[in-house]
Amino acid sequence: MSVNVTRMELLRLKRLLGIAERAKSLLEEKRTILAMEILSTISKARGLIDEMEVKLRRAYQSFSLAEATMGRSGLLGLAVKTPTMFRVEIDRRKIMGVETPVFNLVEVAEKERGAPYSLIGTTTYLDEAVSMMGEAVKVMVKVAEIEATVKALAAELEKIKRRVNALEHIVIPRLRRDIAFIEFRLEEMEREHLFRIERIVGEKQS
Amino acid sequence: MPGRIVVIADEETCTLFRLAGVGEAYSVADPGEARKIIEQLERGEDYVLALVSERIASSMEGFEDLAVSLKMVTPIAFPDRRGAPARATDTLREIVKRAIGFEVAV
Repeated sequence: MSVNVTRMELLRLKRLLGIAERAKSLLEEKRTILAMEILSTISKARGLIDEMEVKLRRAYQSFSLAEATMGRSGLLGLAVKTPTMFRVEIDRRKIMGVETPVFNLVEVAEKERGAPYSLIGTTTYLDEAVSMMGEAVKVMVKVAEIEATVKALAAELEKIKRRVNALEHIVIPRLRRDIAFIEFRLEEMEREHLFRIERIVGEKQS
Repeated sequence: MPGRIVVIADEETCTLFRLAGVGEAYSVADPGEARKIIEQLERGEDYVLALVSERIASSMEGFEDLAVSLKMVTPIAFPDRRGAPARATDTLREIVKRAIGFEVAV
């Protein structure tokens, strides 16, 4: 064992042990809070997923009616010409020091993208389907934000778990072992010193 | 610059998404093709969201694993026109299971 057997080293290791134990307890606290944050974020997902399903169902129903009145090839022709209207902007926010994304659906301005399909030759069923699908996409973006947030929080949680394990199973036991070793060696050295003094005193007296 | 949304689904669902203004939609029949597209999107710089129909997601082996491993693109499974239930909850469940160590009902 390559440890300096000195009182200075003993004090240094005891200070390090104190820091390691405090760090472990703080990390455990952060781990609990992150787990609770993940569960609370997840609880928002169910409602959004249900909303997404309802909106998609309505969009599909209207789309079927539009298909029946306008024909599949007519819709395909319009779809090819429809410009991209949605993009997703990403902002960042911090939860417990963890950077998580905020997705915002932005609509591309009409002068940039041009008008969507013409109203001539199209039906209101198509308008309903398109409008409902737009609503569904908005909800999907929110579901994606929850998924990305949970993923970021989970990655941080994994990191904390590894740090806590390293402190608990490697760093703290090693420091305790070194401290015990130095204390034992210092006591032994003290006993040897006392024995030497007693022998010198004994020799002088005789 | 804002990121792009991509749809991976059957032909009819893609048509509806295109009409709604989601510019990029890939109509695929083979789950392997869908995986390749998602992996390509991950390598691209401006893709944020991949909307994958539930039918394709469920036929892709390890969709949840893929979803968990992606860093740039967030894939979301959605029910397609034939009405399969959404699998968005499965991905969330998988992430939580790996992080916390137990299953949570979503």
